[in-house]
Amino acid sequence: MNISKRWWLLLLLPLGAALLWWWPDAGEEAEQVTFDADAGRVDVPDFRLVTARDNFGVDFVPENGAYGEKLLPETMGQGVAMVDLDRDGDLDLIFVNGTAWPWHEKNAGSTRLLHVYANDGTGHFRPIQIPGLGEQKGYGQAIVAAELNGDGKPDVFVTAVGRNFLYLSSDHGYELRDSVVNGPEDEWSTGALLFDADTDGDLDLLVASYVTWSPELDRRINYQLAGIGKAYGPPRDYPGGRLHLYENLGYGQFVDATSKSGLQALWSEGRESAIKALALQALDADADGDLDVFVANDTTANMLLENQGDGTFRERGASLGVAYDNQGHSTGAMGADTFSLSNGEQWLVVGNFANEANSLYWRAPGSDFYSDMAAATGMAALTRRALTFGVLFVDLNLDGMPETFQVNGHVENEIARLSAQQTYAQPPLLMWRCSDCGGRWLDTGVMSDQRWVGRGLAAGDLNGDGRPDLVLTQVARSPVVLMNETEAAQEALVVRLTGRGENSDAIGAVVELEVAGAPVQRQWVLPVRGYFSQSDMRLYFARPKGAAATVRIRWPDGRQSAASIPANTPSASVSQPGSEP
Amino acid sequence: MRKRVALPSHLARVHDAIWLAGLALTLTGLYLVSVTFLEWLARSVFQNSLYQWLFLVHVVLGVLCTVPVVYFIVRHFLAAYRRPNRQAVQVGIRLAIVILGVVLSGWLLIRIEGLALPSGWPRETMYWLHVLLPGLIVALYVRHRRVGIAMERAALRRRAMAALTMLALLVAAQVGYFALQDTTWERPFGPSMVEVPKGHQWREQELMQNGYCLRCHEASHRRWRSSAHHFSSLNNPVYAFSIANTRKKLLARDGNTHASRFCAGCHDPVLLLTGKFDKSDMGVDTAAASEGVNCIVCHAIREVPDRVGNGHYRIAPPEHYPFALSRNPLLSWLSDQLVKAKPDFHKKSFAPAVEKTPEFCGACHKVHIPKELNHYRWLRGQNHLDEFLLSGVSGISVSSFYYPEKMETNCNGCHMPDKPVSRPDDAAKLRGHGGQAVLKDHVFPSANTAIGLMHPDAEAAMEDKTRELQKSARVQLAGWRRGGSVDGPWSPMKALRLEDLLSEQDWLLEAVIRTTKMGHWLTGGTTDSNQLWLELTATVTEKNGRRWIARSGQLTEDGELDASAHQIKAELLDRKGQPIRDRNVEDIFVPLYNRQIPPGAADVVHYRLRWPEGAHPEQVTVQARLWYRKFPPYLWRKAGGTGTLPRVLLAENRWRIDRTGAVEMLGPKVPEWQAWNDYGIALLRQPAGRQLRQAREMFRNVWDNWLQPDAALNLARVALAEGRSDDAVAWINRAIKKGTDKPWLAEWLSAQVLVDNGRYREAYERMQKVLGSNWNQGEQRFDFSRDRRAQNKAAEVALTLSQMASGEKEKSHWLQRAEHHLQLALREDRENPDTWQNLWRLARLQGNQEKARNYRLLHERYRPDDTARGAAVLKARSADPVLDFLANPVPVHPLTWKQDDEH
Repeated sequence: MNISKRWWLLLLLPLGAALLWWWPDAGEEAEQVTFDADAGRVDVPDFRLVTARDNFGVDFVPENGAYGEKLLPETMGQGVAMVDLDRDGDLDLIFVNGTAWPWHEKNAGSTRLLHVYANDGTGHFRPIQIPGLGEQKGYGQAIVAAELNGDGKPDVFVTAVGRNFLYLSSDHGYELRDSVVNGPEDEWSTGALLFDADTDGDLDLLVASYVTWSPELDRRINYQLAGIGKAYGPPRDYPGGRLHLYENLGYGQFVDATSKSGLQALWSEGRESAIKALALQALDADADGDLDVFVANDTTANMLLENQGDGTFRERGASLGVAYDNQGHSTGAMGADTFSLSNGEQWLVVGNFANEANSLYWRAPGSDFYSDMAAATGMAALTRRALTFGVLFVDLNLDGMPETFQVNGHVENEIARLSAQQTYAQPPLLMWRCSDCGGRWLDTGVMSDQRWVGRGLAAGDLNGDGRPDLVLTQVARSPVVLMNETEAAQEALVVRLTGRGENSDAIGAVVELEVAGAPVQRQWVLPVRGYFSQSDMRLYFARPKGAAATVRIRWPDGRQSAASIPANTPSASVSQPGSEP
Repeated sequence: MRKRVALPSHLARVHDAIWLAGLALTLTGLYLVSVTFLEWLARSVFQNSLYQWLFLVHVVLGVLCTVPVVYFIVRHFLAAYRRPNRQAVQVGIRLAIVILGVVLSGWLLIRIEGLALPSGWPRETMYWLHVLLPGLIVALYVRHRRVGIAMERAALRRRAMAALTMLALLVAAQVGYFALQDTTWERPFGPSMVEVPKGHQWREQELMQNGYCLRCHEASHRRWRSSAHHFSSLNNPVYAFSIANTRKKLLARDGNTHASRFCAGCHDPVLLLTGKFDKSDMGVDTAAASEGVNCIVCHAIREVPDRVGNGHYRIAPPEHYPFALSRNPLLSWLSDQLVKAKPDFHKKSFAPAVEKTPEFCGACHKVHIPKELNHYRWLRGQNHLDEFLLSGVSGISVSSFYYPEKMETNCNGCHMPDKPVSRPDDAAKLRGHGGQAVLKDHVFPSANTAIGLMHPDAEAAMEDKTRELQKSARVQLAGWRRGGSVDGPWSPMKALRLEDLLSEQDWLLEAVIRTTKMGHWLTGGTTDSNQLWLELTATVTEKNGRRWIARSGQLTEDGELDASAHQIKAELLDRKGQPIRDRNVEDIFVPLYNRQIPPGAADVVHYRLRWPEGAHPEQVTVQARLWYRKFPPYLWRKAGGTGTLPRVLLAENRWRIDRTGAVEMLGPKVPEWQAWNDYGIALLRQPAGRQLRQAREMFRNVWDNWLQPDAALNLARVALAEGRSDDAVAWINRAIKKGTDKPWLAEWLSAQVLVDNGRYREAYERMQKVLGSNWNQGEQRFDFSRDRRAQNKAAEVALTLSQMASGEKEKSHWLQRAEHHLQLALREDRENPDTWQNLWRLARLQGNQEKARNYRLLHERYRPDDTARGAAVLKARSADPVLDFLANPVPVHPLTWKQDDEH
């Protein structure tokens, strides 16, 4: 009996081994994903942005000349500036207009480059005409406004398809200047930036162009939208544009310093230009105290013009990590904005093309390069669908940390026929940064039922309640005024700086607000933000109710000063020591 | 009685000679046995040419010794068998028997063509006798001398000295051999990346040895003669035309033609290695110019050091058997006998293991255009290697749409299939396949159908090529869309009645092309000059006859293809926007569009059709045919080619409907769900997400009707592309519930959703699972760890996690993980810009500025030039309305109209 058992064992062992050897591979199995968009979600604060049936008096409808030819500028939109133009203490609105193309019958009508709306102090607007300002016909794009000629009134520069426009204030209103900044007739200028590039105390002007374009060139190509009809040509297929730096010799007298600044090297000596710039965003990327410039390029690598401190620049986008997304690919970058924390941490958000998420470049404290954290912070998922133009960091609920607000809209009006998720007009997106959940960005859902063809975007307190309101522009549709009625978490403190010398707007100053028991807040005076637009020069801080505060300022010329601001003061004006009152 | 001397003096001399021969046989025998033992132990071939020489010495000496040994034994026996020392005699007799046994077994082991002991036990027995009996000889000899007359000390010393001398010679030969084998490689033919042994001067005789190979491999050689490898050099008119033009330009530009060596490493290796290529006439009239990639060139490649292609192989003169190249017929015959007796070394020498890897083929079928040639920058060229490695066919790609039932491990499965031969050669004998003699087909079935015009014998091989080509793709008439627009309501062909069709004037007709038996893109290769196009014809039958009403993709009278036809190709431009038309590789600057189709994927072609006024057809027929031709005729003629280039019908689909409602479909038999899934894939793949809406509709259709998990996964892909995370997750989970046969893909897509939503840790875990688990099922073998795109994605997630880490230890952990993934990605492809981008980020996070700078430069080197399109595309599109139309991301082809009757 025992022998028989042994035999069985002897038989079974090799059988077992053979079975193991030949047993089919089990393979792995997939696990279901438990993905609940609300999992771990905290209560998102309520935000309230209000539109008005009469659009708060703004009835301007821009002209873009789009009558079927589908020429590329038609879809790029125009900007808006929030400036106290009439010097009455509140923010007025200047909208940039386009025009019908010169060869089109509609061009016979009267259009003007700028439409100004005066604020009555409560956030209601009426159209006004300021003598000499924006009366011309032109295909405008971006607008910047700051004091240039020393008369205390903001001067205005508008980029355009063709020659640009520089309006300097005068006793009687404004005068259009024939200046080198008008640029070449055959260029399509887009973003513009006023900042002290050479740290000599006045504001220099940087102007970007998008692509080398002309109507003739555009017409030669029959861009088609999947056979549905004519489409706008992709910038990728056009030769690159230029950057021009105009040095301010004083009081708005400019000379072309492009070559001297080293910028011309970006397209000279046989190099094809990779500049396809829309937004220009000033920031101190290398933490050396002077202002560098981020160039948002559409379909080519973004650029970071590192200021050498003497008005010359070195392009370091790739080595500082802002040229590409994390995969190393260039994106269709449109608008941009930046904010920084007092610990040196810095964020740079870039709105990108449809099906490309925002880029959210982050520089860690003490670090000298940026990484795209859009996906890691949840922003990628929220923004992938949108085609984003204007994007701003703006503290709408006055809790001391900015939200991200972006306006979206496709470039093709029939895109919905091809993509279920893409529409020409798109909802805006307000994202709130949840500090308690690892700094994730969450969708507030605000205005998600609205559909706008968003382009320009600016922020500033329009109704005098201390909270920043918003204005967005659309393509060939009326701009939209959004009054911020969000319950403020803290008290507003609006700080206006007056600088010394010609840069009386103190552009490039950095302000830290210290309040006992609260984190230090840091903001830069950089009004040109987002896309083609200028926000309020003033800085919007939040402080605990009834608390006194101290502001520490590093002025554009590097000098530092501090000022105490008593409790219950909603706004404060701080002048640089030595400046004229 | 006179006492007989057992070992008279002349016999003593024979004895001494046998002793010496015996020593040599023993030492060589020991060497041979040791090598055999080591080979058995290591399951590897250690034989080399020294081994073959020693083997020859052993056999020849053994044969030569036979007579003296027999003579000695007989004479010694006769002289000594009556001697009184009976013990010595008896031991001597035993010794003689054993020696004769060794001699006999040695003889029996010799293989002579047509006369050899059969393999198996008879041969095994002889082998072991031959190996073991010499031990007995030694024992018996010692005993014989002990009981008989002892060997004198002086003689013993002499023999010991002889043994030691022989051993020293053997050791010296072995050491010398190893020293010679220690090759230092150099790359003297830049920009070609071919590497050769340092200082070696190549002679034509070393490379042009087809005659030698032919002696045993006649059938393979015959097939090779009809192959594209044979016609890779100046014997190919189009290549000769192209290289001559290139060199002319280079001479004018650079003052020399060195940059054209870039081509020669793969096209003209014989000319290049022997220095002829650098001469002004390239040796065009010499036999070397017609060698192409001949037997020796392929079979003398020792290594492929990396995966960069451009002829980056290491070639050295192959090690031959003794007298292999001798012109003496006897020696040559002897050499052949050696090869047949000991073929392992031949196989090792001429078919090293690297030949069985895809990298071997990739050394030439992966190309980049070097800066030396274009004076511009590094540009990616054709790349069959990575197309294969990043496909489902190899089982490496995580995210393929389809996977075969059994993966291909290299290129040979398709391009060197087993070819049954009626006249088998020696290689064929080694492989049996169901009793049928087969050999690895050296015609390399592939796409060069012009070879038939280059060689009188080649036409026969064209049938095989054609047969293989016809497996590469299928075409499917996918349906009609009302209104003539890509977003019109869709009807499958068979669902439409003729009345429906006539009820609307404008229609969009869509045809789907799906790659089937392909391991690389269709077309791949010289995609600028290959012609692969879709012909579409709509015909109506009316009361008064039949006529075509609309068509596209016709040939003109002179045989040229209608320029507006849908072609599966990459249209390449030069810097001035001129299309690359003459294989002028030095001018390639940027692709205008790329409509090639990866393995297991699909593309869709749109045609707009408008019914002619007053059309009342009884019957409507639509026919779609996919044609292939190696060159456009104008190029063939320009290059001096003669004859009509054959075109091959790759696939066909026909649909016919009449007023009775009868519908006929003639085309590939494809499961219906898969046909619509293919259609969805084609729509999903349209550039810039231009047809995501239609892709979604089509996959939804597959899901609703067949509940196919593939459709659910594809719907998840669409949702991901559109940024709908919730939907993506829902579809992934549905696919899992329905038991998808691609669980890794479900995991991978889940990871993408999680990444998009900032849930990096969970995403990383899933990625790890995909990359590190065993997903094999049935005969499917996967190795996703080789998917460099996936490794890069995992690295990117790990890098971000390092930035989100709470402490140094955790940060360091994630950086290590990222480095691990990137090293794996780098091993697969060091020309991938994504890897260098991630390495740059890694170096930055590690604070290594110098490395970061270097990696950034490499990223810039390998990433596409953002400005290239801007420089060339406008010029191209504005100069040519047809190119302008075709360059649209989703062109809708207007069908050419025939308004007048033609019966």
